[in-house]
Amino acid sequence: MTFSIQPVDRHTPGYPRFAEVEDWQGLLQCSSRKVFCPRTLWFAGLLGTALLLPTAVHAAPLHSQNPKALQIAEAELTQAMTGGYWAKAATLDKQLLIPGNPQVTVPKIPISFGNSYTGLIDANRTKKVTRELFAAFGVDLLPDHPLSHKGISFTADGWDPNKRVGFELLETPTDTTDVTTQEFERMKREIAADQMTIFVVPHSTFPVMDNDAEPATQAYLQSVLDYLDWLKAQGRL
Amino acid sequence: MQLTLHGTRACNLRCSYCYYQHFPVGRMTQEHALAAASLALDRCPQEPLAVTWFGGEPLLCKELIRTSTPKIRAMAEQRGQAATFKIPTNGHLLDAEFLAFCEVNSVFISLSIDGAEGNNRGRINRRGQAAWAPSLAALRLLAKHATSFATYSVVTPDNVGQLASGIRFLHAEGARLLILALDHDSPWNESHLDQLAGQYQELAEFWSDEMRAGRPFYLSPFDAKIEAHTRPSGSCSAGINQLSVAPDGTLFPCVQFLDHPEFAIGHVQDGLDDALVRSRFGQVHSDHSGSCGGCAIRGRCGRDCACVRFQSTEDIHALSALVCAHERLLMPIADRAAAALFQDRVPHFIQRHYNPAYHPLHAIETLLGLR
Repeated sequence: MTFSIQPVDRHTPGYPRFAEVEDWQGLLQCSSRKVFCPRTLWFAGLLGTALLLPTAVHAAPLHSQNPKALQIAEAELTQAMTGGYWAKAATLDKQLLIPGNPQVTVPKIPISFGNSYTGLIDANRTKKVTRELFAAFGVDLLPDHPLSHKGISFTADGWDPNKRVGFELLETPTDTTDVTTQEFERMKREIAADQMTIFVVPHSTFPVMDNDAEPATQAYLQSVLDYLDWLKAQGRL
Repeated sequence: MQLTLHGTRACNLRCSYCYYQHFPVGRMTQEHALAAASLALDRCPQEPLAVTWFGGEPLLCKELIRTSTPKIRAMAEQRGQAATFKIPTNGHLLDAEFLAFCEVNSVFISLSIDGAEGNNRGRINRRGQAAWAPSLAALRLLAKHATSFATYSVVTPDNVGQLASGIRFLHAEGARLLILALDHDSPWNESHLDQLAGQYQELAEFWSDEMRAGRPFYLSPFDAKIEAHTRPSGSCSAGINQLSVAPDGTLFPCVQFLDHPEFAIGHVQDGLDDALVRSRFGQVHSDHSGSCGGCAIRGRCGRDCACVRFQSTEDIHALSALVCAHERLLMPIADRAAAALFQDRVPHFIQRHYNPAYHPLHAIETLLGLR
């Protein structure tokens, strides 16, 4: 074998990424009728696929009882806004992931055939803003705090040893400091029994399609705000 | 979640480039197949389940596929998840009756065939004889009766000189979704890669001409590389949202590792061992720089695939010099063709690579018989 690893210094593809096209609807409209027959476009429109000319409901605004936290969350969401296709096409839904904790807001992103989600929201950025949101509620979280509770040992992404409140973004299996699947099941039982007060969500709950992080970011931020409002309403903060 | 069910590892062929060395005859039970599906659905409850019936030769297990496919789909639907099914097969056991089952149950078939007869020298049966005639019969059966199908062709140093003519042959026989895979395990040299570049260039012109004429077809070296630019996707997900299940229920992170029990990561009855996934593959999942730091095409390169690394270097952590050379060869050819098509706003190119609704609309037209 005579080959070697040789990094390429410069390479310009000569055509844009999907996310770089400013007027993608204009780009598509000129060619859609040349590719698909009118009956197909009519049929698709009738089904309300909302994919060719997306009009799906844009996610609702963030909300919280805590104005400071809301301001932090809105600033973070603004950073994630790309005006991309998926932000327009996605909707938000509520799911009970952890019995004992409030419902979590999840993004519902319509995926096209042959594709799947291509990424997740940025973990480090997500953890940082979560600590800021907790701080807005008066909870000073220590980052990467080792925690052991009834056989559940992991490094919490944020933990206040005094208030015994924190959060954990489950990146299993890529983060070796996370709880294992078995520990996660025990953790859910402890949360349901009110023996642990921790906001915990799987990272995979917040997928990103085509680098458009807005739907996932909005869903995650609303989930944290809902959790903190819920703790506050219960007098735990 | 990509779930690969190895119904059996037995095979009726002995292709010279197959990455399996052993072909044990054991068969997967339906209990294991359903348990594996349940495990996959539990693991990724937000995602569609993409099931691949794999082998060996999966059509040696027709009955398992017939009985389990509807049950797995029902399991997924009960949980509000979609399920898709695919069978890569050499086609020797494909008949009209089984194809009808696939059509009714929306099971997609990918036929392993390397091109015309001359391209298929590496595809031999257990007696060492050429296995061409049944492959051609399967291709013609699919072209005549299947709503949609793919062909999967392996490019080797031995057949690279006839690559373009082989692809043209498959296209002329009715294939419109053509997947090419390099045999990373063969002794490639500079001369072979020069030939490959020439063949790719010829194919790029054919692919572009057909696109411009309103007769697009999918050719993986170009469409996949272009898509990696227009819609970047993630890196290796072996063991995370990709599982291979051996006939005895042992879990592996991907298809390439079944001959290597040291890569087992659990069993359908006991579940996935996350600690093993971390210890075996954690570095692969997080290794995105290595010696490629600063490379302008790193984000579109196949270097992150643990299977490719293992096949070409026998080490899931080692970068493959062949992969690097191939990417440097292919990327400019694919991008030159794509840039010209974008510049001229060729409708089929624009729709395929910039319209998120392209695939559903295309599927509607295929189902309605408009294509």
